[in-house]
Amino acid sequence: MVGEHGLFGPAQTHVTDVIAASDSVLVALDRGTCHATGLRSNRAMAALQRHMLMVTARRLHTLDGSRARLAAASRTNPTPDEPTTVPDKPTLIDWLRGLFGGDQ
Amino acid sequence: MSHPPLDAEALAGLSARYGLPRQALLPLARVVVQSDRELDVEAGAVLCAQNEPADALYLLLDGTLHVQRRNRLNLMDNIATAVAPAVLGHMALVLSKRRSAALVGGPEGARVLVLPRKEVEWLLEGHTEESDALRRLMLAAELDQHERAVADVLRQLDHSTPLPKGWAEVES
Repeated sequence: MVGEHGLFGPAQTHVTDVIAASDSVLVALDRGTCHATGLRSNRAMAALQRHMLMVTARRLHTLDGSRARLAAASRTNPTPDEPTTVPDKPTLIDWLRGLFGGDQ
Repeated sequence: MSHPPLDAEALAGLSARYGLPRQALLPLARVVVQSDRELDVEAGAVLCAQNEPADALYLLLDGTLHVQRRNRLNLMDNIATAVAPAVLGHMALVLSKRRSAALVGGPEGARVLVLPRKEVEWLLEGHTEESDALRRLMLAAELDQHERAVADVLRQLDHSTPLPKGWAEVES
């Protein structure tokens, strides 16, 4: 699921491009449908909202872990005399780019 | 005669805080009317502790709450300060996990509305306007928190990343 921040969250604009990494099939829900007052008692809309709540909470949980690891790492930074190690696996910023797309 | 804790003004404030339409949360006033759910949290008092089971959702109506987490030295770190109006405690409820952080009254204390877990779960499963309003509020709060968390991670990696408009630095 992508694009929910601008529809259900405080973000007013899209800050990233979403580009298909392979041939993809999507279901697109427009803003009017998502906020239709006639769908406030709709079971499908309720299920979609519950799904988004769960997905976003899981992403937040993962992000919280990353923040804690970063904070811990920043408290144990190597002294200037120690050689800087080159990461041999994707860094956190690579992971974030993969998760959200693009440099933003 | 006492005022209901969640009146139209408070709901409009919550709507504005999370970028929701002004009327979006009004149905919640029909189900949250009992004044005994309102808590005054004094400065420094613990509203909920880290690692305890999540038994409620909190609506911060006035004042501030510090969000604190234990560090590796077993000391409590301030990781954020929530300013009213705000929704807190939703993540552990949605994920059925224990509290990942403690909530502690800020310098001027806080007025908090407590929604018990059973009522929140009942509303989340419902297909009514009240249920829709609570889900929208919790989702908007999650997405807001998510955006802040991403910005925080990026700023830890690169301190030149600007803070989004209207956001304050976290006091450590």
